[in-house]
Amino acid sequence: MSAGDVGRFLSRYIAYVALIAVVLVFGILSPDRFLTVNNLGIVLQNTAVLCVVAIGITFIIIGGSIDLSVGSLMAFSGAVTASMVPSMGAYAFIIGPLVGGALGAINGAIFVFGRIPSFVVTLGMLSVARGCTVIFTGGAPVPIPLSSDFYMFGTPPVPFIIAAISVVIMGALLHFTTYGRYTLAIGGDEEKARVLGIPVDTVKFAMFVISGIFAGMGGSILTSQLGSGSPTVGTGFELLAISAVVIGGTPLTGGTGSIIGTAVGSLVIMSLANGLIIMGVPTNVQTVLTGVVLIVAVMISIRRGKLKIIK
Amino acid sequence: MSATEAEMSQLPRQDQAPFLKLSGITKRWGALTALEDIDLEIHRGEVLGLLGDNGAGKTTMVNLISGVFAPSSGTMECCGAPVKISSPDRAHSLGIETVFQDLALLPNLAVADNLFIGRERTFDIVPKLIRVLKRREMERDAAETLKQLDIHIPSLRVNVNALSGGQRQAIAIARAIRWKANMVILDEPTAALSVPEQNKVLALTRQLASQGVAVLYITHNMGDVMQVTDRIAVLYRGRKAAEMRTSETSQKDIVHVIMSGER
Ligand SMILES: Nc1ncnc2c1ncn2[C@@H]1O[C@H](COP(=O)(O)OP(=O)(O)OP(=O)(O)O)[C@@H](O)[C@H]1O
Ligand SMILES: [Mg+2]
Repeated sequence: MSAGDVGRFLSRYIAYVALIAVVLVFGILSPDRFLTVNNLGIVLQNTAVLCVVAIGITFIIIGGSIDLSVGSLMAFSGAVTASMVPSMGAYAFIIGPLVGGALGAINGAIFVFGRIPSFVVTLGMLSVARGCTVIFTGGAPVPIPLSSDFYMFGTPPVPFIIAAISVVIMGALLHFTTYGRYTLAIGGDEEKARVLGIPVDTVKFAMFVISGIFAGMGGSILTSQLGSGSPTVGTGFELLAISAVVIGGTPLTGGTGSIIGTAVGSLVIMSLANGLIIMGVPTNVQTVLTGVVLIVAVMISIRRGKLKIIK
Repeated sequence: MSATEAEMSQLPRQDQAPFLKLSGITKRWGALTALEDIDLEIHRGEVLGLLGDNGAGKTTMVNLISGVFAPSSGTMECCGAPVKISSPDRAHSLGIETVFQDLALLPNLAVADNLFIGRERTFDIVPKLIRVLKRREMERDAAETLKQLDIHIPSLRVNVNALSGGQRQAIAIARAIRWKANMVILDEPTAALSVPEQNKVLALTRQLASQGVAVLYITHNMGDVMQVTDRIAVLYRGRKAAEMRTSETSQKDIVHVIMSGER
């Protein structure tokens, strides 16, 4: 294998390579605590929410846009979900995706019909939805009853199963349907996609609804895991989710990508966080290392795109 | 294709009506007038050459007929009935297929995907919403189309950005003529092709016309013009400067009109 081949291999399978590296490093440094069935179960449990939310953003990034609002959408839909648990019980779960989908539709409508860059629209929504969450909750967590069927969504292995089903369904949507094909086409060259008769606006609008639905679903799961709807939950989560997508091999320039990659990318981020906690590394250092991993992953994967322009 | 045929049969069949008739077509971009008051008829079974200097408005005309954008004013008739070609889909439904000057290929999709883009064969789980691609069928069809046209591509699964300029041009042409078209527009289709490949495109153009397709052929190559067109329309700075039968004119006269805008 030449250096070029190694580079290509690395950039294509960067998420898998990173996952193996993380598991090896912590497996060697702390075999008795990292590589236990119990701990790996915790990693999967923590990965579920990130994976679900990152799947939604994957479509947007493949289509060449961005969604910065998912952390706030998660918090708002999680809080509304919590408020509905007393009356709806387990059925309150559906509130998260509904609220998230509605906010995603607002993002999409302003982006597509208002012709405002997605970066700006969703940056605004990040702030708006966070503010609404604080107003809605009065600044304090929205408690849910001590015993409720609703807790099942946060109890292992349910979050993991939800994430796994999401990966399968959305992976199939990306690879086997016209919707996935059109998303790729738009990420490749939006103007040409339009000239060829692809319903560009509809596809772009739907990307944001999908992202909202998955952020809302993440919010529901998180509310069940935490036992309340917190006004501060999910702050900075958009960066974790975008990192998971990028480490998973979907470049921010769009036009290509993979849902399974996103799932593995989520696993990388959460194993790293878990390993660092086990090693007793301070939270601030964890944040630094997560950023470093992201940048290194992008450096390795960006070669593949043979990008001529870096924006 | 059944939609096209159904739609075509609903339109009045006046045998003498041109396939497409443009009347007073004008296109403005702010202060710039790209096309002004163009009248033009294109009949089935003929190759109409559209000529003009760089920036004369040829590609603008192509975009108007292909539904990429709408004229500022003027009307169009298809087979004698008024039409508004408001979208690329509408153009397709009238049986109008285009090889764009920039080819309009999606670089990050495979060859087979590009041939069917926007008009995929699907198995619809939820109509209009969840449509599963029949990839095998489309790949088989794509291979068949390329074989018929004698186009050689290493693999149908390779992305278009990995192909040569000539191969891309061939794919764009194959995409336009694989649908049973009523009208085919070729905007400088031979620009990137070798001489044998150019000849293949010229032969193909005549073949389309002999099958009753209306062909709009745009080129800067005078040899091609004399060889392939039945009639010629010359644009000069957005206006129609001349319209003539190829057999009743000479290369020299055509060049003169293109350069001066006068007969
Ligand atoms: N989208 C657009 N916005 C503004 N002006 C445009 C646009 N498209 C074309 N024009 C202008 O319209 C005029 C005609 O351009 P057009 O592309 O139709 O020329 P052309 O005859 O195809 O030339 P060429 O032989 O170089 O391809 C040019 O002056 C061009 O700058
Ligand atoms: Mg042109």
